[in-house]
Amino acid sequence: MVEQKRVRVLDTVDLAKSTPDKPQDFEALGLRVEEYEQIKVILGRRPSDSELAMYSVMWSEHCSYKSSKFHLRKFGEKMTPKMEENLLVGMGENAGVVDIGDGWAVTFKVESHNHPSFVEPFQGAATGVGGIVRDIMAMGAKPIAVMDQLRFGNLNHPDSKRVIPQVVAGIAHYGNCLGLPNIGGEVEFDPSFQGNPLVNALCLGALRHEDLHLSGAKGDGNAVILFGARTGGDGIGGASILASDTFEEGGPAKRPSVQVGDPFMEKVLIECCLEMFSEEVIDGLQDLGAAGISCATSEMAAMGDGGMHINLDRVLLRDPSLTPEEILMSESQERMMASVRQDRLAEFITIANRWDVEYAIIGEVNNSGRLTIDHKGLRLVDIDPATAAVDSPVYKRPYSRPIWQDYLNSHTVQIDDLDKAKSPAALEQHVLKVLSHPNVASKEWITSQYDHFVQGNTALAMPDDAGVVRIDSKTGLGVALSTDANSRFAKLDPREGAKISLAESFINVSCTGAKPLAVTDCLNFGNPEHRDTMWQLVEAIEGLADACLELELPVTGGNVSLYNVTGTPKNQDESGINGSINPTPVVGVLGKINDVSRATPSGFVAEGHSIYLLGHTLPELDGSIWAAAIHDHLGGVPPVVFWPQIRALSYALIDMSRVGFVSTAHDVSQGGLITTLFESCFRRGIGCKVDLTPLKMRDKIDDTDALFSESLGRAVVAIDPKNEKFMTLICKQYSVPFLKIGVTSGVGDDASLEVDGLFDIELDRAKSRWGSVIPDAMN
Amino acid sequence: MSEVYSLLEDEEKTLNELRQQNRLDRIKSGESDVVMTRTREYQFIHAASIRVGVVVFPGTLDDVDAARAVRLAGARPIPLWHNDASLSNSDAIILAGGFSYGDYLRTGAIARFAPIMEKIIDAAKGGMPILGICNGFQILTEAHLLPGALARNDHQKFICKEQMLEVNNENTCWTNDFEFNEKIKIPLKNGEGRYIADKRTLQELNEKNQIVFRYYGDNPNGSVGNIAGVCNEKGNVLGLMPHPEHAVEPGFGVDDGSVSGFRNGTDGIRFIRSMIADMLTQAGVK
Repeated sequence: MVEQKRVRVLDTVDLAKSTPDKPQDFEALGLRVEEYEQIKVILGRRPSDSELAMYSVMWSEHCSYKSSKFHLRKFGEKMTPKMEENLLVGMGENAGVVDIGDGWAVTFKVESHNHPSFVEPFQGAATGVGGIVRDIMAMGAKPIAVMDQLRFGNLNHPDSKRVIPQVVAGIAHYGNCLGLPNIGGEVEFDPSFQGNPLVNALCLGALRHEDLHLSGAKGDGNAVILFGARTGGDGIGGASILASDTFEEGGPAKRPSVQVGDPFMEKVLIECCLEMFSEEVIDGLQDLGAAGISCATSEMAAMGDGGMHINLDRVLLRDPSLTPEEILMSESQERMMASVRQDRLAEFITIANRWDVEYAIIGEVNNSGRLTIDHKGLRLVDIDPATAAVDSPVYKRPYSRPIWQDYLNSHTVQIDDLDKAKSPAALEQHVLKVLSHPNVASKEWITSQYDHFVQGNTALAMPDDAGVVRIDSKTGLGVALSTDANSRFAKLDPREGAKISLAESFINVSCTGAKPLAVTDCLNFGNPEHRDTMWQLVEAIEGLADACLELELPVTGGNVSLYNVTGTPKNQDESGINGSINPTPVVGVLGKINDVSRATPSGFVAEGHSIYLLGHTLPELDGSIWAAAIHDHLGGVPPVVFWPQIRALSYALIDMSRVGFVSTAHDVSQGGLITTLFESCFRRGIGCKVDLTPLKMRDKIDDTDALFSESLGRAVVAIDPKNEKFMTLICKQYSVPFLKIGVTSGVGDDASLEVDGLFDIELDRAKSRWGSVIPDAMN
Repeated sequence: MSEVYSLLEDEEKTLNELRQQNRLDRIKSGESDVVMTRTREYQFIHAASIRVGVVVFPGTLDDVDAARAVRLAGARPIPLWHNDASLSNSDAIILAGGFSYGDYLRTGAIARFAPIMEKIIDAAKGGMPILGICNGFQILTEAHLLPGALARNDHQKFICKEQMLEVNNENTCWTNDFEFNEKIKIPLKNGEGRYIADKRTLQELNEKNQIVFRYYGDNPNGSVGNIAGVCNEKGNVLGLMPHPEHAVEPGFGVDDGSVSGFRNGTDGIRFIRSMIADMLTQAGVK
């Protein structure tokens, strides 16, 4: 047999000049006619195939934010000098960097890996963790913790048994192998996520101020080094095609393989980079994520001196048959690109060798203003890097308030006349149903698969309100982190829903005693080409920008994930909203705490403590878990965000924690007051006796409102009676409404949660209901 | 690694601070078993000369925690690299947890052939105290320093939780600070922690009192006989699945049920203290 030799003429820049009319299949790469024409204008000729590949990935929604960029500017416009006070690096870099004092800074960011996680849940979720960790490393920081924000369809849907265990195992596999504690996150179930689960991952990093690295390649003559794993054929076109197209039934199979992660390689890469940071061998650093070398080279060049020359044949390959275009687009994991001064090269090589990390010097930085890429002596790419990385198209997509929004908002709990429990026995049943709703039920089946002990700096982790980790072991200085989103509220009102996400994270962080400093977000929405979805996105961005201004917190960076839809456009109704996920603005808040070992926990710690409810309770049941669990109802308007109350509560909680008067603090959110009380009881099996009468009289509400309303700006604190007067003083100082609603009492088998005159539920019974929901569905 | 080194640089200063702090903490807490007696103080100062090697393979994760445990107990952590040809005059060795060589092939199977393991195997046979935690335990069984093997958890999932253990042998150099039958709590985290051994081996382990810890309350991974840790016949080599190095510092350990609500459970530090006390006794320091 004579092996047939594949003959392929490389499409070079010269060839592009001489054959201006060669047809190119730009549409298969996801580019539109106008975009293709724009590339021709920029270059003054048709692009070579390699250039076309680069532009197609760099101008994809995933990399260019072309639908959201115009609106994201609002975060910058609504920034005050005070908000920027603690910001060392703002939006636009790989991740924002926040000053926390004593020469320490932290960087954090949340990112999506939604589509790959549906196609291949294990690897999709695993590589999501890997990607965000490299982003944090690219800032010169040491990754110190991760968190995950997961959204799945109906817990009992047959496909959930495929997706959920694999996503969780993927995160566990990758995160645990990296030795990064997983300190919290969230899990939400809603049918809208059935065909499009959301897998967001957050990473937190710490660094000394002087170690801050920016990605720009500055320094004429610096070597450009690609190091870490070799480049293979995985995830080619993944960024542009997989991450920006809907999962069509019967459509063309445009699903290139999801990247495969190797956490061991990443762990070694982290250690190697950390040593390079401390030896100061790296000038600029960039991780290779979506769009691989295309993205890394054009971004590094555009953010630096503007020029770079690359020899593509020097890239170390796992698969020697890869074409130059494929090498440019490959999304192989565990790779980094560094710009290194020539006099530091030897040191770089020594450290890489020590960690057995492969590297290749693939080019150098120059000040030509052009990104040029050669392959075997032929010029394949000659572009202005900014045109790919910075000046990508910006779309002002049309949007309008959907007509169905008013219909949805008009169907409130009152209008639809949802039955409230009329007897104590019925009320007890409602309590147990709310407690066993998947969104309230124990997430231990998931979180127990994550290592939260490693590194020995974790002071609080799930199920506490926020994860708290120490950064400086000499002083105890550290940070608290919480993320939140309630997609049901966001569906009812995307603007208010985004504000609620922030308000809840803000209070979660405050509960631990940490002072909130900065915000990151991950905006998960449907198809921006539909007016309704685009409206949701714009509303959420504006709402979040306004909310940040109210709380004086800067958004330091984040991610937008669009096209989270299932079904073909044909199957969708006119508005295009069927098949779309609930709008999900995930908001993370980072706070600073001077002594993490004093962070306030959320579970009751002893008997005989007084239980106080801080904040007002309004009859706000629209969109609540009660409405979902009892009536399968979603309608009306979400709870009102009253900023003065949110701010005041935060100040009070932080003060109480500082002086050490409060024993435990737990926010009231999904599932209402009764859920908060049960969660506090479950931690150590300590029961409580509660009397709701004063609450009902003061706030003029009924039993169901008192137990299940999801009014914002509330927290339950438990306190040693001898400290009560100090606590009430603090509350008065900040005008935070407070009310004693009960005492902790009973431990062990006798422990129960008793609500005076209504019911008395043994903790064991409630806990087995609450704890078995997810395991039963998964086993 | 770099953190370990930088900590070592600061060591003199840190150690003095720690001594002072530790003394104050113990006196303040007033808990009888940690009050500084004259003897203990004397031991503490001598302990600083004990060198405890903490081995790092590529993929080792808990080396920083193990080094911290050693330091907090008063001894001196020595970072050892898998390629090292010597144990750098270590008096004892800790093989920390993690995923050495990415758990490729089989947990611990590749690490067992690392250059440093030859030295460790010799030292173990010579009676040096060796503690293998989690992946370290797996490596010790692969190296045949300990009997049995560790298999995938019976529920097939990674598990991370606070775990109660029952002390079954308080006479090893790593456990003399515990009482027989004492119940202690330290973190557990593993994917392949199910201890297995054939009948004869199990019988021998029982007869020779080599089962040092058993899971108490619930069996988290399906280990035979609830076995959480075993030692060799001499008792100087101990392997255990749970992680003492993650419960050594108040505020960052396990929930001890105290009224503060903080994670103040630090049973893990007693493993290292046991070893130090044993070594000082042998050296004639009372």
